[in-house]
Amino acid sequence: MNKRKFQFVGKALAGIMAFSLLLTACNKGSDTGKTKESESSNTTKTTVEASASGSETDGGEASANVDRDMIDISWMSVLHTDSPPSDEVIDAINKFANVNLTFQWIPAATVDERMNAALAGGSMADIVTMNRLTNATQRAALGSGIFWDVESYIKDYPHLAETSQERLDSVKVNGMLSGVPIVKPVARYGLVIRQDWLDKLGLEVPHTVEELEKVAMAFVNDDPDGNGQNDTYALIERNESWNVSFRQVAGWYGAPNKWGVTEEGKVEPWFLHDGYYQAMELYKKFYEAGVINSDFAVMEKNDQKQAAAQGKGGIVITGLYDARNYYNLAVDLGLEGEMKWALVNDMHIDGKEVRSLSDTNNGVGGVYAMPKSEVKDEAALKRILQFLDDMSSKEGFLLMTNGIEGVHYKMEGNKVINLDQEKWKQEVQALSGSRINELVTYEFDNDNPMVQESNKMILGNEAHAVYDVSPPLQSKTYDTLYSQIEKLPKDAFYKYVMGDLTMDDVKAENQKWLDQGGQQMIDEFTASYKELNG
Amino acid sequence: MENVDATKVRRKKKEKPQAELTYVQKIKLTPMGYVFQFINGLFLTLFALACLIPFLNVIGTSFATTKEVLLRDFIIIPHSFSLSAYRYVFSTPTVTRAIGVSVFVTVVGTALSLLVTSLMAYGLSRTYLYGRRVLNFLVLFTMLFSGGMIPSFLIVSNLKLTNTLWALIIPSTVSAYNMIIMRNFFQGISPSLEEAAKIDGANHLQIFGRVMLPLSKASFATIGLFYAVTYWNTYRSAILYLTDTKKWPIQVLLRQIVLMSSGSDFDTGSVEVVPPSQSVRMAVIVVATLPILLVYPFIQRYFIHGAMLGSVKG
Amino acid sequence: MTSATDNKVKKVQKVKKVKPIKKKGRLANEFKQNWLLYLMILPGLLYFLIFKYAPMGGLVIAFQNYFPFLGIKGSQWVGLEHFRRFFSSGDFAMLMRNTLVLFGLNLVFAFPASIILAIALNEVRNTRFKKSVQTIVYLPHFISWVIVVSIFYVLLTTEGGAINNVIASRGGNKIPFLTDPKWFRPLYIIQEIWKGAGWGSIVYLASLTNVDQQLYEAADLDGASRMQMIWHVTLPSIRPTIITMLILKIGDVLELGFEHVYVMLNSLNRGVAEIFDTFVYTAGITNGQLSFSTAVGFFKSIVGLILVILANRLAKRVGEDGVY
Repeated sequence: MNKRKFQFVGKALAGIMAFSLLLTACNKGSDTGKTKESESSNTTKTTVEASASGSETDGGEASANVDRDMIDISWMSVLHTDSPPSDEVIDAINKFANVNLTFQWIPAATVDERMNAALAGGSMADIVTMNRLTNATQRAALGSGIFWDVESYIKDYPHLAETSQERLDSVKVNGMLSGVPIVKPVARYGLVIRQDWLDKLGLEVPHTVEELEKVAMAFVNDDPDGNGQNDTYALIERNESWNVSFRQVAGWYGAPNKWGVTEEGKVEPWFLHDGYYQAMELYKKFYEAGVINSDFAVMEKNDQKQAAAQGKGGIVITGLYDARNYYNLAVDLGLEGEMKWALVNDMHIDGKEVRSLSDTNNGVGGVYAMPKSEVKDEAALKRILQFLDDMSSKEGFLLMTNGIEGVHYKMEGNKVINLDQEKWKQEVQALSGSRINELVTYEFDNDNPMVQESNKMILGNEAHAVYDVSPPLQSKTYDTLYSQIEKLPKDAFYKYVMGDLTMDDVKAENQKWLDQGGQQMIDEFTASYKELNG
Repeated sequence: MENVDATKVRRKKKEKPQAELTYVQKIKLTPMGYVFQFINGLFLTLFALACLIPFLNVIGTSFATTKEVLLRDFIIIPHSFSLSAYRYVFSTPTVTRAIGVSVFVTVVGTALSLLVTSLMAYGLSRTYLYGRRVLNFLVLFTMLFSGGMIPSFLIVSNLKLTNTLWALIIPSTVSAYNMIIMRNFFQGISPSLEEAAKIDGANHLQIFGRVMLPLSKASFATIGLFYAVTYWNTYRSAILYLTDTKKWPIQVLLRQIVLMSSGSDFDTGSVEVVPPSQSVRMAVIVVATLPILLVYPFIQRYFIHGAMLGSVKG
Repeated sequence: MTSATDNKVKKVQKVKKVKPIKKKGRLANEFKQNWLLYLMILPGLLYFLIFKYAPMGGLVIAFQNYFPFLGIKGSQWVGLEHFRRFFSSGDFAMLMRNTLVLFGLNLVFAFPASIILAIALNEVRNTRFKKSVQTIVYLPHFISWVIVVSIFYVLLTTEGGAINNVIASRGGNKIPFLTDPKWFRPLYIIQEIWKGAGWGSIVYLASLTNVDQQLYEAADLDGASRMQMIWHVTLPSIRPTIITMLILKIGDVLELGFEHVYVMLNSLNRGVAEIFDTFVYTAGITNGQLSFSTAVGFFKSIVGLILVILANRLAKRVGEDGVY
C-alpha cells in the first residue's frame, strides 16, 4: 500500500516535469521563430541602406517621392485604451507606408516603470514614444544623446517640417531635439455654457468675467431648469481644478501659464502672480454663493461629465470638445430635452486681452524618439522619418484615427463619417493615441455642427495662446523637487476656496514653497532663460 | 501501520463528506448557547451582506443598460436587462485569449510554487536541521529588502525569460510569506509521526510524501489558494516582461479598462479616449474575477478533511 | 493516530535525542543524516538567491543619482544626499505620524478583525451557512480600491450622496465625509476591515482545522462555556499562527498599501492622509526619481527589519517559535 502511494507521488512529479519540459520546448520554438524574424529584418535593413544612400545623391527635394523601401519598424507606444488595435488596421498601415510594423504596447498607467526598465536594459524599439517630458528619467535620457537629434533632418519632410518653432522648442532638452514632436492643438480650453438656460432666463452669452458672475448667480438662484426647485449650481468643477480649469481662470486675470517671465526678466510660477490671487478670490466668492459644487475637491472627471449631462450645473471650464460629450451623454440618458451648449473661447476681464493658456504643454504631447542603439545609421533614421511623415499626411492620419475606409468610416465630400462606433473603439481607437500630428483633424469637416464649431474655436485659440516658458529651460531643483512641493500652493487653493484658510495663510504657504526650494527653481530657470535668450 | 489507518479513514471521509462535523458543532446547546448562536449568526449575516452588496452592484450594473446605469446611482437588481456589455467584451478574441493565458499561468504557477514552497517549508520546519535559523532569516530578509524593479528586470532578461509566459511564473515561484506560513503549519504537526516513520525506515522525502502531505491538506489548500490568487492577479510582471500583447493576462486588460474610465486628461499626455461604458467596465470585472472566485468554495472541503485527521500537538 | 502509538513514539524519540557530543565531524554527520532535507530546500533557496538576493545589489542606487540609461556604473555617487533630503523635508514628521497612526489603527482594528471573523465562523453549527458566509466575506478582496472608493463616493458625497440625502431630509447638516480630515481615518479603517477581514481569516480558518478536537471535549466535560472554550482552547491553539502573522505585519509597519490611501487622498485631508508611500509616489516615482524612491524604501526596510528582530526576540522570550 505504501509503495503504491509513493508511486503515485512519483508519477505526479514526473507528469509535472514532463509538462514543464513540453512548455519549455514550445517557448523555445517561438523564440527561434523570433530570432529568425529579426535576422531577416536585418537583411532588409541593409538593402534599405544601400538604396537610400543611392537616392540621396538625387538631392534632398526629391524626398517626397523617394523610394519607400520595405522596412521592419518596431514601435514602443503607449496604450490609452483597453485593447490594442486589430491586425487588419496595422496591415493597412503596412501596405500604405510599405513597412512592417510591430507595436510594443505599454499600458498608460505603467509607462514610467516600463520605460525605466527598457532604458536600463537597453531593450528599446526603433521608435520609442516618450510622452512624459516632466519625468526626470525620461528628460535626462532625452538630453543625453542616446537618441538621434532630428532637428537638421525634419525640414526635409513636408509634413514634419510644418511643426511650429514653439513646439520644437518645447520638447528640446539640453538644446537637443531628440525626436519628432507629437503635435497637438495648442489651447483647447474654453468655457461651455447652457444656451437654453440663458435663453430661459433672458441672458446673453457671457464674454467677460463680470458677465460670467451675473450669469452664474442667475443659474444658482433663478431656477434655470424650470423644475421649481432650487437645486442647481452653476460652475461644475472637479478635483483637478487647480491644474486645469482654475489655471485658465487665473490666466484670464493675467497669470502666466505655469511659468512666465516677469517684467524684470525673472521666470516665476503662476501662483505667485497677482492674477492668481484675484482668481482665487473669485472662486471663493463662487463657492460661498453655491456657484461651484460643494464636492468639487473630490469629484472625478467622469462624475463631472455626468453632472453636466444631468443638468446639475450649467457652466464648465473645459476642453471645448467636451460640450459634445455632455450632449451625447445627455442623449444616452434621455435627458437632453432642450439642452444646447454655447461655446466661449474669448473669456476675459473687462478691458483686458483674451488669453488662452495652453493645456497641452505648448501643443506637444512628447516625442517619438529613435534610439541610436536600435536605429544604427542615418539611412535607417531617414526611412523611419519618412514613415512618420507619411503617417502625418491626410491618408496616414485617417488610417490611424478612423481606420479603414469602407470598414470603419466613409467619406462624404470632406466629411469623415464613422460607421460603427463599437467596432472602431475596439479595432482602431488605440492607434489614435499614437498619431503624429493631431492638427490634421481640422483639415476635415465634421458632420456634427457642434464638433465643427469647437474645432474652429480650438484653432482660433492659437491666436491668443499663452505658452509656458519653462519646457526648454533647465533647473535641477525643479526636476527633483517640484512635484514634492507643488502641493503647498495646490492644497492651499482648495482650503482657501472651501473656507479653511485665509488669504494670509495662502501667502504663507506660498512663502513656504519659496523657502523649500521654489526660490532656487526661480533662480535657476531665470539664469537658464537669460542664457537662452541672450 | 498508522499510515494505513490514515488512508482508510480518509477514504471513508471522501464517501461521506456531510458527516464531517467538528466537535464544536456537535456540542449540545444550552439556552445561553442559543443566544450566542443567534448573535453570532446575526453578526456574520450582516457582515456578509456588507461584503455582498458592492459585488451585487458590480454584477447588476454589468447587466443594466447604459441609460439605467447613468440614471441610477446604485444598482443591485437592474430594472432593464441587457447582455450588450458581455457581447461587447467577447466581440473580439482578446478577452477570451487573456483568460486562457491567466488560467495557464495560474494552474502551472500554482503547481510549481506549491511544489517548491512545500519542499522548502518542510525542510526548514525541522527544528533539528543545522543552519535552519540562518536560512529562515535569509528568507525573511527578502520580505523586507528588495533590490527594486530594474535589477529584477535585468535578471529576468538575462535568463532569456522575457516575452515568455515563464516570466510571469518563475520570478515569483516562492513567496516568503507563504513559505513562512506553510512552515508554521508543518511545525504544528506532532514530531511523533515523523519519528515513527523513521523507525519504519522511511527517508525524509517519503515522510514528506506519505505522512505530512495527507495531514497538510488544509495548509496546501490555503497556500495553493494564495498562490492561485497571486498568479491570477499578475499584472506588473506582465507589463514589464511581455512585449507581445497577445500574451497579456486578463488583469492587464482589466486595469486598462478600470483606469481608462476614471482617466484624467492632464497627465495622460492629453490623449482623449472614448471610455467604455460603465456596464462594460463592470462586465470585464465580472469576467476577470469570476474564475478565481470559484476556486475558494472548491478548496473549502479540504479545510475540513484536515480537521478530522489531526493527530496534532495541542 | 491512536494515543497508544503516540506514547510509544515519544519514548523512542527520547532515546534518540541523545546526540553524540563530539564536535569534530558534527557537520558532516549532520549532512549525512539530513542531506535529503537540504536537497528539498535547495530549489527554493536557489530561487531566493537568484531572484531576490542577486537584484539586491540594486539598492546601491539609493546612494547615487541613478539614471537607467547610464547604469549603476555610469551614474554619479551622491552619498547620503537623498536621505538628507528626505529627513530634512518639512513633511517628515507628518509622514511618520500619519503612517504610524494608520498602522496602529490597522493593528488594533483590522488585524484582530480577521481573527474574530475566523473564530465566529468556527462557532457556526450549520455547515452550509458557514461555507456560504466564508465564501462571501472573501469577495471584497477582489474588488480594486478604485472601485471601492468610487462606491463610497456615490454613498457619501455632499451633492446627492445617499447618506447625505438622508441626513438632509431629516433636517441635518450635510457632512463632508470625503474632504473632512476627521473622517479620513474612520473611513480608511472601515474600508480596510471590509476588504481584508474575510481574506485575512482564511489562514486562521486553516489553522483552526488543526485544533485537537479532544481539547473541546475535555473542556466541555469540565463544564466550560462557549466563551471560555474560545478563550482557553481555540485562541491558544491558533496562537502560533497569530504570532507569526503579527510579526510579519510589524515588518510592514511603514508599508500600508499605497493604492488605498492614494485613491482616498485629496488636498483637504492630506494633513492626515499623506503617508510614506504616497509621498514617495508623488515626490519620486511619477517624477522618475528612482534613487530618491529607493532611498526612502531603504529607510522603510531598515525600520521594518529592526522591528521584526525586536518582535521576534520578544516572541521567543515568551516561549513562542518566532519566524526565524
